[in-house]
Amino acid sequence: MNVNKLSDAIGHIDERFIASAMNRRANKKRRRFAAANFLILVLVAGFNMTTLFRCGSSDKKGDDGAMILNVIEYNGAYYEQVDMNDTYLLDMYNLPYEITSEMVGKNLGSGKNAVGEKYGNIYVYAPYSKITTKDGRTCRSVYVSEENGEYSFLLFCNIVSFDSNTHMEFTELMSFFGIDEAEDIESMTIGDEKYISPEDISCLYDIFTSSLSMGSDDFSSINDVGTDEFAHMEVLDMRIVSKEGVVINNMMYYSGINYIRWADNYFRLEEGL
Amino acid sequence: MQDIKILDLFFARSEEAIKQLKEKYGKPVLRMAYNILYDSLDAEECLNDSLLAVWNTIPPKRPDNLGAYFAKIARNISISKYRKKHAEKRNSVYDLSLEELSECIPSTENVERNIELKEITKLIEEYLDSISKENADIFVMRYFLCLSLKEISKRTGHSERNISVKLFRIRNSLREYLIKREGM
Repeated sequence: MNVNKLSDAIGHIDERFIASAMNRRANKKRRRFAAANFLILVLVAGFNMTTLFRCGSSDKKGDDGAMILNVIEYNGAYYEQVDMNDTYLLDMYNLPYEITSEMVGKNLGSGKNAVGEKYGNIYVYAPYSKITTKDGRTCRSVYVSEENGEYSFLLFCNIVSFDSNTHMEFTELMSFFGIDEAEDIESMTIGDEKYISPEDISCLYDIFTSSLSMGSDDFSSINDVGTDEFAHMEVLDMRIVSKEGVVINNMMYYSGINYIRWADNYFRLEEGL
Repeated sequence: MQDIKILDLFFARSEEAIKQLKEKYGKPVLRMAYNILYDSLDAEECLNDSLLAVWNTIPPKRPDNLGAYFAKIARNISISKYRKKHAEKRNSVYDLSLEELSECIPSTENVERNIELKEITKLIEEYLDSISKENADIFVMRYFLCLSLKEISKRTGHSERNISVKLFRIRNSLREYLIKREGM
């Protein structure tokens, strides 16, 4: 094999790799820092941060030009409405670029937009309708929204907070994705490291599920982390993909303080990753 | 315009399809061609040849990723042109990427194998699936799209130095992977 042959071989790789690289957005991490910073500011101000954040962000563009999505409340959770032109995001979640009629399942009624008005029609995403946990809960991470004849995906991002200390156990959040044990997971990625062996996944899953769950108030009082410190803390993106292809992307690991932040919940880990 | 609508225009044989394709993906494809050829006129010519090639192949083809399909055609056309024109000068990003890629090639002291192109592509795809999505994107940006470190840095939010270190590690791990998988 010579270098030209290697280069030619790269020229024939599957188009999904090329599309992913072409659609990668700039300064993703900086955007996340900014979002974390804003959340803390809202907390300090004593408002219901989730609702404020969602209201303030709907249908606007961030500093880096990335679209911040509309958010719909449905069945005790918030869902981000996907721009169907955002192929980068769709790839990140293993979702198709087009929603065809066979992907649209049972009608679940309507949701509410950021100001509490009735919004669109929500449907089961048919390919995920058979993914359930052992206790029979159906996967709730992706729904289909219809408004004025246009279909788009709704991605789970958060639970509805009753106060700024509302939180959920790690296993409860996992159930939204149809995952209730390590064996349901295909891969876990933390920063640059991707884990695919069942032993690694089982070990990490045990660390996560034995973590101490807490809400924003408890997290702030225990850690005494100021806005600037939090915004500049090293953060590693995490990604979990289930064996059914369901993807969790909105999870972050703060290595300096050994916490995972996921859907406005904070999980203190017993040991470092 | 959504890819699916551009594809419909191609299938309807509307020249608007070419315009929309160029508008949506022309800039990154032109940048890639330029980074391979280091000549604006040649890059522009490759872009136009690639648009024509897409027009001639869709239909019957209906690619899942229109942008990637267009980029693939443009890369092959640009590299063919590069090889035809290639003289003494070696200064494009593509030259640099070739030099770097030579580090991934296992030593020929081992058993020499006349490995098929398809087989190498399959191994590279398997390797890309085994690493993080971000690293796979960085690899494709450098060695498929031929982007400079600065351009990759802008797209990922990492420093150029960080990208350089990441690419070094990726090349080493690809080399190890190729040795492990195929004993090449």
